[in-house]
Amino acid sequence: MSARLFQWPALFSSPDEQAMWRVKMDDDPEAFAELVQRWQKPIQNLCTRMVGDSHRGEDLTQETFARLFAKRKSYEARSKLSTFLWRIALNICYDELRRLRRRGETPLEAAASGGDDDLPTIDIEADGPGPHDDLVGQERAAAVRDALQRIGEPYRAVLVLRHYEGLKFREIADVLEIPEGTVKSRMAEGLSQLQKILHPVVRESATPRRAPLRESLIV
Amino acid sequence: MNHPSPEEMMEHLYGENSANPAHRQSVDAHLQQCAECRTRAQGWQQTQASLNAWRLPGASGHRPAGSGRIVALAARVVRPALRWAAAAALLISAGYVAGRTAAPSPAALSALVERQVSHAMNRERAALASNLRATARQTATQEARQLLGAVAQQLDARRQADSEALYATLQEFVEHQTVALSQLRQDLSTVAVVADARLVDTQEQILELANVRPEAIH
Repeated sequence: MSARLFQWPALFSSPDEQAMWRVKMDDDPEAFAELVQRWQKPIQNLCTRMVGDSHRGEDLTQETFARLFAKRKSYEARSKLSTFLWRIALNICYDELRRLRRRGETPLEAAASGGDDDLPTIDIEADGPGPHDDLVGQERAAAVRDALQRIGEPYRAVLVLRHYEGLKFREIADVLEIPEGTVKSRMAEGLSQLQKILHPVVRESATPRRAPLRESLIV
Repeated sequence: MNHPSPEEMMEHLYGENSANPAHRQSVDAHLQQCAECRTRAQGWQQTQASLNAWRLPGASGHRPAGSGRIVALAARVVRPALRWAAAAALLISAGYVAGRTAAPSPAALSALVERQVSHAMNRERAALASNLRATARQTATQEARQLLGAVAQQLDARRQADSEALYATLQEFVEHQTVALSQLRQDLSTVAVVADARLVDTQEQILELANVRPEAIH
């Protein structure tokens, strides 16, 4: 009875926190399956973008949920499950990247596209339909993926969480446990580093074709 | 306005300063006037656009505010909250009516509270005792396991020592038997050689006796 009384904070929280509370208190497998179904895709996207390899991203996603279950007792109802989960996933990605560096390995897909020192020189700003759209699209994606792998992990984490996963700067600050201002400055630095990597391509292709950006700057 | 900081520019580029329209407008105005900041912002915008080239299969990309996902989430949060609010209001009303119709005297209330507290304390005490019993049982089991392990180790050690002693004895016996056998073989050889020599002597004596003539005897 007393254990049930402690559940009352979770009753007024979101479905994620409610499900996690059921996992924590009762080891409820259905609640855990619900969480996995809801969060699998975002976590897999994060892991894939952090390590630059979709197969490894899948493995890391499984590891993330395994660790979430292992750590269920340390989850506190006051904190958001998403923050808890993003943090676990990022730590697992950092561990994996450290392991890869120690072994001197390169992610499979990055290696297939030429590795770190051989970035494709793709006109990523070219637009308009063409006969080789799919191929060009894949090459652009590979160029961005490789460029992301070349910037520092703290910048990459912020970029992926903000740009691809759509977290607010405040939420990223909670996940990384750093001040919000630091998140924004890392975001600016990360974008600048990416710009330097992709810049020659951008400048060559963008200059003759692009319309004046003054209007498009107003977000 | 001074040049906006990179942090302010990030807020602007990702639309996170929309809660402050005045600030947003001032950044917009500055960007239209200042070529340096405009170039910087354009570079970041180009990079943002480039990032969108990497799409993952099934990835939703940005999650704009007010998307179906967020609405569904909000609905799921609000519905249980409303239910709980209704239940709480019903309980409060029932309590109020019951209190008005059958308000207990202070003494009765005190007795009721005392009973409840006593009951709760008894339950806690029982739970504590149960926990203590379980802990003691667990500790005893662990100690018994440790003792059994120690005894098993001693028995193993003793069995090992006995086996070694028996092996040494057998080894000694075998060596002794080997020496005795060797000695016996030597003795038998000696006997055979001596017997052979005597036999030769006896044969010679018989031949000599056979060659002696009878006249010579008489």
